[in-house]
Amino acid sequence: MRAYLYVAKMRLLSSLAYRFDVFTSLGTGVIIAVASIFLWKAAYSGTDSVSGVDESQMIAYVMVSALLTAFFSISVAQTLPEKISQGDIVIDFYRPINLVIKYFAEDLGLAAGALITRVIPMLIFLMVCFGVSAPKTSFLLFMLSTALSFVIIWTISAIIAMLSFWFFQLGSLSDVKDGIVLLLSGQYIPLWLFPKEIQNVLSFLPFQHIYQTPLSIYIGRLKPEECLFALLIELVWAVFLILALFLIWSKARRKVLIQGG
Amino acid sequence: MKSVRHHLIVAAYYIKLSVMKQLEYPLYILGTMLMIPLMYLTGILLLYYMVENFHSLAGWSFPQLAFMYGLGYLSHGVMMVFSVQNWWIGTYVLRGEFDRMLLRPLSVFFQFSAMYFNVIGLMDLFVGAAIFFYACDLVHFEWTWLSTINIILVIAASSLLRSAIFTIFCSTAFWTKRSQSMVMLLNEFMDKTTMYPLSIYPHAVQMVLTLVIPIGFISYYPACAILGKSSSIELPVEISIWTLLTSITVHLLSRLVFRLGLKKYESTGS
Repeated sequence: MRAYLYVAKMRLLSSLAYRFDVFTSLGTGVIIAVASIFLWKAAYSGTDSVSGVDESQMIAYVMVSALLTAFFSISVAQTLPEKISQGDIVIDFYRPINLVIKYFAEDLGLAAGALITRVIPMLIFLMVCFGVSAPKTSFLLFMLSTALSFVIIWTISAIIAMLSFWFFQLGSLSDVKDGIVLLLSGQYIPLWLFPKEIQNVLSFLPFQHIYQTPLSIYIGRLKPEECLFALLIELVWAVFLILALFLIWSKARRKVLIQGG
Repeated sequence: MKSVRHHLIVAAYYIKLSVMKQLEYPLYILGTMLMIPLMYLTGILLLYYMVENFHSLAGWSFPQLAFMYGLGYLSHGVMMVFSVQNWWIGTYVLRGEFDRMLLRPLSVFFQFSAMYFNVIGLMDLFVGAAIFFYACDLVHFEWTWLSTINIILVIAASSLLRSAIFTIFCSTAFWTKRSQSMVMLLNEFMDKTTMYPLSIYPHAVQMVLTLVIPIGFISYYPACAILGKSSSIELPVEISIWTLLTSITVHLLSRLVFRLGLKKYESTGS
């Protein structure tokens, strides 16, 4: 456990090392938030509510979505394929710790860094310039849901990254993942604006739990009992994805050993 | 005249070399090319479902928004093919790649501009063009000799402008040695300001995007002019001329900034 904490701490510190990067990433986060706010304000002019969501709820939705985007800084989808194609992965195999947990600890450290350098400054900026409304249901439920979201998006990213063991010539599959998540998770556009049939299909996929579930809890679109049910489904997805991840990892390990001769 | 010919021959060799280098990894190219359309789809679907639910965005209908989106992404495609190397100035600085260019008897900016022809970027160009022509159809664009020449000029100018803005901002890597996070910031910034009509932003932001960082000329003002929509900031004289003038001015400025940065360049080591 101490080893993983150390890994997380080192990652947190290294993310703070380059001041220029810290400022530009903060700038990126602010641009995403501010542009979405004005976009939806323009969309709502002349419309009271769409699908039971009014303007102030929608503004809260995009603000918190931008904060979550900044918080979910996940590097495994870039670093692992790079390690695999460069062969550096071998060095990791020498280490007497569980690598999946090590990579997770790294990204937890990165997320902690993002919290300090991006999420909190962005929150202060948004509160001063626009005002951020408090969560409509319970803040605790929102936090729980966000924690599960982090696990879900991290395991999906890690699974995609591990596919590089087989398809390392295909380039970065993580861009595809980013595109799919952006479109299907409610990060960019709430899924309730899609046609009913598409929404039905999406409800059987894990993506909407990454953004839309915690955000819906935040803006009070779900009733308290619906929140609990949504959390349960999130939990089921998280457990399922973790199991899948470890299964793929055990296969992938052997793949590397074979390649190494 | 002789010097122009010489530059063209050198550029052709550069392009040939970089294409051959990239074709060494055909699967990588194929994989990445398959992913690109997905990214464009996200943007256009957002606009489509937004207008579907809210009827219009700041007075723009879906065909008009798609036209502006297509115009913006066409210039993105051209940039991806010819000047994606702006994104890598930081890496070049760290690896000392400019050493070689400084030794050759040719302008460094010319070598830098001609050195890379991005094969994968052709997909960006293709998808951008597909969206643009689809949108032209949606807004019933009339193709006459004059309007065609106008469109070609606008696309050339907005591509030049987009690349020049990237050159200016990415040249900061000569000082900071890093350009990765700057590229992410710029991409996000360009997306948000070329995809939606500028009129959704407050007046002060529009002024900045017109006069200070003239991103408005990449897609918003040309789209306003071609579609006959009035922009919230009125510009005197024909807008196509403004687009052309702005892009040439910013291009010249970008060469100046690049040259200033190069003076700061200190090779690797130490």
